[in-house]
Amino acid sequence: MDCYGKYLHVRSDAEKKARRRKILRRNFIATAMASPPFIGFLLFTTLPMIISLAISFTELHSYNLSLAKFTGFGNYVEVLRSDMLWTAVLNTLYYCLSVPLNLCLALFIANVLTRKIVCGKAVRVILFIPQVCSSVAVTLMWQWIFEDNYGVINTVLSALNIPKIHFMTDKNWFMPAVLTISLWQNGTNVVLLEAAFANINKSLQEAARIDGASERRVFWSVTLPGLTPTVFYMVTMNLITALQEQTVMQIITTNGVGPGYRALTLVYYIYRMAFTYTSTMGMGMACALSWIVALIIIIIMRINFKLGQKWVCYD
Amino acid sequence: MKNDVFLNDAAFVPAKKKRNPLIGSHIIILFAVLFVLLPTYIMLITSFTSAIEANNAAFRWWPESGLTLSGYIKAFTRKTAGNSLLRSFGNTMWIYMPATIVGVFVSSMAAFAFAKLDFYLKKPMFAILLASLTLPNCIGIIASFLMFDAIGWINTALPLMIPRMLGSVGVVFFLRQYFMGIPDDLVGAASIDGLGEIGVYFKIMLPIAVPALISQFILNFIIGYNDYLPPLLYLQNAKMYTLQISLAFFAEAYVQDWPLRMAGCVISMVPLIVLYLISQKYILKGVAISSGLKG
Repeated sequence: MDCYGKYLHVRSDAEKKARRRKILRRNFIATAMASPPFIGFLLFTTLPMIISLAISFTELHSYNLSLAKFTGFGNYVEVLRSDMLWTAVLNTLYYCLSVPLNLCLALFIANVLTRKIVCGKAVRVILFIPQVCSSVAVTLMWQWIFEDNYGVINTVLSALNIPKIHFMTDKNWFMPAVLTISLWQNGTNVVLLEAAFANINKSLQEAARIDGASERRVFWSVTLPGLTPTVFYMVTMNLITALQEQTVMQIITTNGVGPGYRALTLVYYIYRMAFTYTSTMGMGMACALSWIVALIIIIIMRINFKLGQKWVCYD
Repeated sequence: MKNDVFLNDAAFVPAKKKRNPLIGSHIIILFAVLFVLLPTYIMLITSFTSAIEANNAAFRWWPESGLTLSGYIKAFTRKTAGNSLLRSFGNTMWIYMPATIVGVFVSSMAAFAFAKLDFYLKKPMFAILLASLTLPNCIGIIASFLMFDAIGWINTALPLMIPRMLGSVGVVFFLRQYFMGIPDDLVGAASIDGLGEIGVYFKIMLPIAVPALISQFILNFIIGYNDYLPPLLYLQNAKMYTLQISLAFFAEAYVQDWPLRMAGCVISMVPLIVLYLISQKYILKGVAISSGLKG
């Protein structure tokens, strides 16, 4: 872009000044263009983080920040001591089972979709539909399907003379039901993986076939390693989302916490601490918990990246 | 499958000729499609069933008492806390539509700067934005609520609109990738012709990037339309509720009226499904390309 560079040595001082001003002007315009997302990050992500850290060391039972009382690490100790924290951690980890489940199924479907399927395009379009539906509506829909008396599943079960399953009130069946809901919204994963299948180097596969490798062998030794970067990206993204799941739990429970507190995931617990148990726990504890949750997520992400170095092949 | 292996190993038949009719694959795909469509059908048919039948008898695949619109009529006319579904649909539109348009436009400008311009802070700014993607946003939920409360933004649309209008990091990355694919010569030629940075952006980059912008707009509008926790926290006046919040309260108010609830779900899903079906090419391509970013 710079076509003056060569002639710099013949410039007078005035010209140099003008040039410097031009560079400054360019810098100013470019920085101005690039800065809105950055300012947004500073104001609406960084600033709340700092406020959150500050509040986490105080006791606060209302929305009025001036009523905060400093308590040091009291909130952290109290959060770590509560039994409910470990319930929430286990629930969240249980919910994270959705990541491998969804990815394996998506891998399977995407693999099949690469073959010549009748109406393949229409299938793709249909499989993505759940992805544009809101968690609220989808959760309500499945709540009806899992309903105790007249829901579809229990109707079918009683027609087959199998005892009814109380998905929403039996604590052993609650999570499988929620995992099914998450499995229903799996379209993005299928589309991403299908694109990854299409991007795989075809000549490598052909070479393997000519060398006498079976189809199964080609899949496991050539195709799958080529997919690993995409799969790793998806594991990371799905894991971050799953670790912070909250909407589904809040909508699906009728009593607020689900059978045996099974609906209480970490982020939902933060929400309840602040807005349901305001007088007993309050904002300070909620902020302390949100930092603990962030720490848990960051640790899990570190492990994920460390493990990723072992199984992802970039070539 | 066994047959495949046998042919391949023994006779060295070229891979392409040994395709069987793929019956197994079609059955798998059929199951996947049914898994998606059956719940949708159940929701639809329940929404057209009379309340008496749906709430008192076992589920039927086709209602015995015939189809009725009463669920929809109730969903459109009933109010919860002074708010109707229609009104909240309007709220969703006027909050998220302009915010998303401005946000995608602003992001595209930033993406252009990061892709094609040089400035002193480029590298550190970009690195920080990149790192921000891995920050768990649960840290700030409570604090941003208190922050917006302190500056009097609660019960206004501002906390939902302003952060969106400043652009989103995901869109910046997507569009940056897109702009990097446009040859530098084009920009160089234009700036020799006397077009400044802003001129290059508006006259050359923006027209080329319109399809990418549309796909990002649709994807982000869908995200906004389906947003749940932020509007739940920031909008406490029922008149302000967005569609999702309204639907959730609606469902809470009519726990046992399943046709009404399902009608509410259908009403909230249909606009987006229609938008998706019209623009599925943009959407699916946009989603597929975003995998190339690799975080």
